[in-house]
Amino acid sequence: MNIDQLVEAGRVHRRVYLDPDIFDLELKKLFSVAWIYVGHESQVPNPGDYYCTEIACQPVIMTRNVDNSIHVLFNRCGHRGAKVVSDESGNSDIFTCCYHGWSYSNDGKLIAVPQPRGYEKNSVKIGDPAFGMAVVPRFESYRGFVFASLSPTGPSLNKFLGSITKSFDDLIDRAPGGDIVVQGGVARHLYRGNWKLIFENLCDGLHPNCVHKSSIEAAENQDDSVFSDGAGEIGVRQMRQNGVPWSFWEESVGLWAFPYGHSYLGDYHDDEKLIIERKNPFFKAYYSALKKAKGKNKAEKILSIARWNTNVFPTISFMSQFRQLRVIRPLSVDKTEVLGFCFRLKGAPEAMFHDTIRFANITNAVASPVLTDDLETYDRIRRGLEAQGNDWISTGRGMGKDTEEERGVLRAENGLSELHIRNMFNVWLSYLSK
Amino acid sequence: MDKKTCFTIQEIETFLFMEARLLDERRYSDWLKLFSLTAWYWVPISKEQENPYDHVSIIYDDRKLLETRLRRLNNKNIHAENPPTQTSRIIGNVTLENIDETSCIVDVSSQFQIVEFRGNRQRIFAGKIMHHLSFNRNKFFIDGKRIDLVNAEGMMEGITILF
Ligand SMILES: [Fe+2]
Repeated sequence: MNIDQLVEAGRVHRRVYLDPDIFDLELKKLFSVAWIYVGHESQVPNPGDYYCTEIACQPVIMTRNVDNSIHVLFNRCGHRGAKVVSDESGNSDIFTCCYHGWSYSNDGKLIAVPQPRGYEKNSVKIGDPAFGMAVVPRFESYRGFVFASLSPTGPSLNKFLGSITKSFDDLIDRAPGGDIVVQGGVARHLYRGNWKLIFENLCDGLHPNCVHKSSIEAAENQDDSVFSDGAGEIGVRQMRQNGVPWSFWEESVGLWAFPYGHSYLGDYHDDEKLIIERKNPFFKAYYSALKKAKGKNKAEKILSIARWNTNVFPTISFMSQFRQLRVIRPLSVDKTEVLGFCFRLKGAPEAMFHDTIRFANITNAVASPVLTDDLETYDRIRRGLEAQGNDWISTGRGMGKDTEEERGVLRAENGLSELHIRNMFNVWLSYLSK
Repeated sequence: MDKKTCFTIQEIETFLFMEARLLDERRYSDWLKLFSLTAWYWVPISKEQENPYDHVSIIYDDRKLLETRLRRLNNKNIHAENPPTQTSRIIGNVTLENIDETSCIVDVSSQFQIVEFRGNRQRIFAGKIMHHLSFNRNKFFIDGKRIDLVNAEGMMEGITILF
């Protein structure tokens, strides 16, 4: 297979979404090489806390050790290979394998083996890394966001993220208390379609008016005098927001693409049209807390940043302004699971966190009136691409009209461009053809 | 007891079966009429979830959001319901949990199983429903409805039906 022939200027071959061999190659050359998001440090606040996830379809565990350090380990027994920790999250100062009782400390060291005599010839030694839960080759954190790479060599996390770190800063800096915490549970869903589709869709400004037509129209016809405890306020507003005309996306929305495949969609202005929270009852209390913590100028500067979806290729997409993060986990070439997390801003009013939850229910819940039309679309793409009439998928919208803003960072013509898709596939190709 | 009861369990069962039928027949406007004006409809993400405010839910609708949700289900541009989902549901084990005769309100628990079919795929949903009902003007109204799916914590594909 010649990978180079699958990506061209303005188009990609349909096999990139369909071919199981390409998916295997992605696991090997992309997901086992790039920095993969593991979790946020606040998911393991205390010694013994752990959180289990996957990297390249392999079970891993993020732990907090007795000395407070964070570790990312393969979730696999050093003896016969069973997955050691089965709960997704919890607390335990010792991990014991269900099979033959080998036990590990939170940093993966083998600390106890029942009936040790029989293993002597096998030179199993307590503390020997060869029989521990293996540590993943590299893990690093950017301000609490933990990433790991299964490749012992490669760019540092800082180099990998580049200036997309500003989106993380935007999320964290909004907290009057200076920090953020993952809270409120996990919204999960599964779609039948390739994992790359969600990265394309989340910065796709053209789709809401088509895909979300039903929820836009339903929300537009909603009588606002009907009782709401807050859920309907946020939900209906968000659905209406999806219905802003295409001219708005052309005139007021921007799209930026970064090295290593990242991108974000945002507002050009700070014109309050989209900083909708300014109108919320809690905003005053929040604003004064932020002002007190950061000073007026800094607070205004923080609030003027209007980034919506930030994609960090190839595992997360988050909304700094709305305190939401999606983790995208590929299961197979045509199956993808998505986990939605919410962040609480330390020092912000409780009501603000309630709005974060309401927002998540509309954008990430498996029964959301908005999301379900996206999932249906992924399913139809999967089915449609089976058709052989045309091998090529167009990615050319806005092509030739990108400008370089800073080194390696491209700004699209407007919010309806497919720049982020072209950028993603260029990077994808450089991983896969190595 | 000489006090006249507001309702009998038979009346409540009849109400629940009628409600189930409206949902299977996709008569959403009629279904909405069963809800009181400040009603809520809630499908938590776990049985342990205590409230819908500080935790995400599979669905948490106040009256306003429920109206919009149902209006969307009747909108012809709804891709996720083209073709429409067919359902068949069984409601059973109906039990009166808390009865307040003075205010004519009652909490009713029941178990359900739903077979769902769409686009040549079939799924089964099951779980427990808690209805918070009030009885006035000779009718039952749903003040709140909580549905605990057995697989609430699981990974699921998109859901467009109501429970
Ligand atoms: Fe969408």
